[in-house]
Amino acid sequence: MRKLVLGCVWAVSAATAQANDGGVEFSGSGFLTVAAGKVLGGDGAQDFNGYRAPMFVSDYGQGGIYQRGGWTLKPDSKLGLQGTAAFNPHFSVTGQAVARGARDGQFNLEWAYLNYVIDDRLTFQLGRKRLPLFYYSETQDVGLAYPWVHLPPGQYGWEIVNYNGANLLYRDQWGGWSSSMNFFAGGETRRDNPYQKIYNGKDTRTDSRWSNIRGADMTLARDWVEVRAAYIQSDIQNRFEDPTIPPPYGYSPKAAQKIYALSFSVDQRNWVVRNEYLYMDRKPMGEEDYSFLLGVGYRIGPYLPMLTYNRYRMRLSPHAADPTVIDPASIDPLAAERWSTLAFSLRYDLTPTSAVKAQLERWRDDSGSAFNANASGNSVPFGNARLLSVSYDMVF
Amino acid sequence: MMRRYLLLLALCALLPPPDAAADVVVIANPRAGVDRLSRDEVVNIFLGRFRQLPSGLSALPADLPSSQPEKAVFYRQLVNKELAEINAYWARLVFSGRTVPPRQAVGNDDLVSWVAGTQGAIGYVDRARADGRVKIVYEFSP
Repeated sequence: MRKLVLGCVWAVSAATAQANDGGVEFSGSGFLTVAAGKVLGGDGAQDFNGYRAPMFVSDYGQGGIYQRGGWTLKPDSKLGLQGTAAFNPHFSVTGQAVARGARDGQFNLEWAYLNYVIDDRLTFQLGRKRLPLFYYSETQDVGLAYPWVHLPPGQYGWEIVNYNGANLLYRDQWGGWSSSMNFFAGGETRRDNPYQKIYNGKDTRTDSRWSNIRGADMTLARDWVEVRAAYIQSDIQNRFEDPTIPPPYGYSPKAAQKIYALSFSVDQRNWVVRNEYLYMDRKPMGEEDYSFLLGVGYRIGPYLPMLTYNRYRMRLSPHAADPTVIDPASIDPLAAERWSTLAFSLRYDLTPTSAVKAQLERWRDDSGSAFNANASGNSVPFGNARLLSVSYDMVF
Repeated sequence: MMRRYLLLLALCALLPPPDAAADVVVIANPRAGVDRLSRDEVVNIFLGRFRQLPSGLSALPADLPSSQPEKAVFYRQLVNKELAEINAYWARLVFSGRTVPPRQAVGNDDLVSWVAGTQGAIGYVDRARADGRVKIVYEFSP
């Protein structure tokens, strides 16, 4: 990471030195979400590993969790600042830092990349970016971009959300449709991953690594209909600092994963539809994951009421597991994690660049034994929960 | 009672619809090598999806500031969206490095002079402001 930042700083200084005609054009922008939420109630769970149940995970990637207690601003509030230095119409450098309540307000560099526009069709980018898993993945922090207070967690809740690498964007138009294709490769190591704390305990430390990331996404758009497909493969490794054994702690053996995502987005007349699918093949680890989300809203002037259902299902199969990665005997097919959320959200556009939202949500837990407090009680007993959250979102 | 409603209806019919005040047209630089654009092409250029003119030149779109009523009229007529929805659309793209929004003009005069002086430039203004320095390449059907 540090090397990449140094690389970008070097590139900026080198390019600045070369920008002798016309100079460098700087531009800045940003986004803000102030969100407050409260768990209204729930059942089927007990406190565990430092978390107060019932709890509602709103942002797995950043560890945004609403727990039993009063109102909190932490899980979904964030401030992002983006700056771009354009050296000429072809070459620019962009950085984006985000401070979030879920991470105690410290700024993290989420984006830092060089952008080289080859021609009207091709753009090459190099650096640190968001991993383009799903429709809103690249703008998961920009609340104004989506209709909800937070993204549906069953679809968007994964341990790696960034990568360092390179990508090539290709744009074209066919008939009335515009197309955008993106090919990317890279890797990411997330130290002390907040996602893993949800599963392993609040005071544990796990580093996660996705290496050899290769993928492509494609979007076809016409008017306000967008169809998007994405495929990503990588190797996964974790390094868990198990307090019951003495260090040193090493990374687990590499396990291959394949991720398939499909989404449909329609804003036609007053109707707003968001529909996404995910299949994640982690068979070497004995795991497969499925997610489906459907949100339907109807715009009435500046109001957008919307009902969104998101179902997440895990399938565990010992026979599919690679014994060099995990002991198949340790996999209990009945232990799989399964849950769904149903959200009623209302967005009101205050001004063209700001909105307020309210969201009432129900988390229903159908998990198997290892994820159910009533059975083993030693893992993530999400239980059922009801959450009320409100937000103010803006861009500037 | 009925007569009062009829009178009200008649008065409403006399009032112009909100958008009729501005007859917005899409203008391009005369050296862009373009006579006419299709609606899909205008949409792709202004929404940052594909920015090449049929002549092969790069399309350089410019937006009016939100304070100018023509901007809201343009997007309502082009894609039937309010400015809040257009900004939400851009919020998803600006912070993802996929594309950049149109160049922001200071006002109508600035937009027309910029289009007049930049090959490949494309913008929108009230028809009355589209003078001989620019070429009308797309009109909304009445």
